Amino acid sequence: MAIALQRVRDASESAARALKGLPVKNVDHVLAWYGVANAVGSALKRRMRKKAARLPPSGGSREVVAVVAGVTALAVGAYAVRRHYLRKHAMDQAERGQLQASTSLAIQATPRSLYDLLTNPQRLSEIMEGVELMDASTQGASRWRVRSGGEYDVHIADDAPGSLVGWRIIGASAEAYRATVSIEGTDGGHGARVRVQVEPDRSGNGHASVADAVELQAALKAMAPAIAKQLRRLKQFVETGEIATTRGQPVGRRSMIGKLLARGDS
Amino acid sequence: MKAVCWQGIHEVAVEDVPEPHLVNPRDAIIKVTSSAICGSDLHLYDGYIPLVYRGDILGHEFMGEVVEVGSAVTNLAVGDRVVVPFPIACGSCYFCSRELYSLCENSNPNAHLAEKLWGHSPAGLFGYSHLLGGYAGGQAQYVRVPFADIGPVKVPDALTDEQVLFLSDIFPTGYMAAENCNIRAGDTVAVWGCGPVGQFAIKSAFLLGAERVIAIDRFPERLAMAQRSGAHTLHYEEVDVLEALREMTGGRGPDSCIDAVGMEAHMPGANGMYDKVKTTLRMETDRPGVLRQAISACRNGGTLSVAGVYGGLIDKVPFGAVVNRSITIKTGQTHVHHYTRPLLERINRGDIDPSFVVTHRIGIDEVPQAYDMFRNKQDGCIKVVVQPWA
Repeated sequence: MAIALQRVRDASESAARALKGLPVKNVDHVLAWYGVANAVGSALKRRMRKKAARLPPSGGSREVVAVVAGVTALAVGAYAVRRHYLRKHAMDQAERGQLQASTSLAIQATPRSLYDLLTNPQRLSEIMEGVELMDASTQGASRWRVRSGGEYDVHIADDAPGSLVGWRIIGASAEAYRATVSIEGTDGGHGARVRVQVEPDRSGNGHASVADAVELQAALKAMAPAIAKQLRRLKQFVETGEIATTRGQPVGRRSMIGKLLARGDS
Repeated sequence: MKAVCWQGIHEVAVEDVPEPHLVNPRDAIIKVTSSAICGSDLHLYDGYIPLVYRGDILGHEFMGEVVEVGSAVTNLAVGDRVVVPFPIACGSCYFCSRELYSLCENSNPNAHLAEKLWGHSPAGLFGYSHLLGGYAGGQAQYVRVPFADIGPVKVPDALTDEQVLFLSDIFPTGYMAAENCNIRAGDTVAVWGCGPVGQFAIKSAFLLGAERVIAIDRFPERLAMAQRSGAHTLHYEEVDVLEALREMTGGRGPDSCIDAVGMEAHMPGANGMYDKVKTTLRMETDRPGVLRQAISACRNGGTLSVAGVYGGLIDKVPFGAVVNRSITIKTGQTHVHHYTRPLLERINRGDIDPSFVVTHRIGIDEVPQAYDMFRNKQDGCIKVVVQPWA
């Protein structure tokens, strides 16, 4: 038993040494090794194909073809079934009026002060990232430019001072969204629960087609992280008076991949 | 300025980088007079912590002189001598108002990344993973300190840097580990790991009234230091730890157990081998050998206090023992801000002189070799203090 344990220990230590021996220090090296492994793999495959071409077809190769065809058919089938259910899900959600992106955060502030901030476009523009306030001259209406492209007209559509504010957002190509922030006060110093919900504004346009529903669902899913980020910025601003960031801080030489990854930092 | 930058696994380098500047109104810039290498820096050095990029400035234990303050910082002035806690905390969120500073909701700009891995995000930390903000750290000549009106603590000139530097992390960390044990008169506390945090856990357990502390390690110089603090010691390669602890406690087990080792435990026998194979094959992220042993050792209804850092996923942890024997597990990154002032007071009173743990003093250019020495426990290395301007 002791000898067997010693053997396992030796094997694990030599495996650990072998892995440590590889000059893998950071992500660049992993990619480089992946490239080398890929090139070697492709060369081996080419050699095997050349070898196979010189041999007469055998029963074995027919079996391989059958297995590959079977697996492909299964994969295509699984994809079709998944697609069907995704489309059905999107359509069901559209019919129930549940196509939406939503997020919620507890903020240490009174519902009224949050409401006042949310209905003040100038102050909101200091907090929100990636958007610029173009005009807020009319009561309850404002115009915003999204830095990544597009301008939107925003009107307050629902208003319950201290607990809810909803906007109708209309883009240049007439696509419209409805964004609602509901604020619920809590007891015991737990802060106010703030929930943001963005949904397509379908007023006057009837039900979405299947293609529309799938597209809208994808658009809302893509929007969700940005909505969460804006709400977090609001929380930070309200609770601390500033937005936490590491932008502009000193850093040593980054690797190529590190540069890309660190770009996601806030 | 000079700064210690992560290069890859087992490689750090001193690079010339731009000096930091004020970004937010509650920032301050600190000229670092003393910094330290922490055991948890070794988890980054060994590549156990994800999302550390080449060029990241390391270091989360530092102190120095205030050289610039933002418009909203009114309690600090240029020239003040301060120690900076390693977690970054806003002081006003739900968790900060409950003094759970390492859970601050507003200091991690990359909270969305931490949420993916851990469910919710803790506070941002200096010189650590981008999961925790990716803030530039204190093994540098200058540091930008966010929320400087909350974190930095002014220290009296009568105390040397080495007496107060460890208020930034390891003293409060060891103290919180002992405090979490809820020590009562007559208690026996077992401490796994006699590195710097373990040493402070031992001292703190005595400060909080433990009758007996049993320290477990394998390095003679670390065991000797624990002994000097009054602990009984166990060399885990020479004795069966579980058997020895049972014998020393009348078969009951220690009242509290402190894991001051964390994710890179070395264990003899099958316990250690299992994790070595699994982490090498990337089938487990941490090596929880000490956690398993401490759970088995702890008395029924006792407390396991985890001060060592764990980052990801572990397995074969005997949770059945935790449930059936009513063991309380207490852990967390240290809420340093809660401890800095009372512990500074203890240093002032002479209850403890934290400089006992220092074994090496170096300039910033020697840091790359020091990481290697500290990792391999060469030259009796227990704690390295870095003077960035030496």
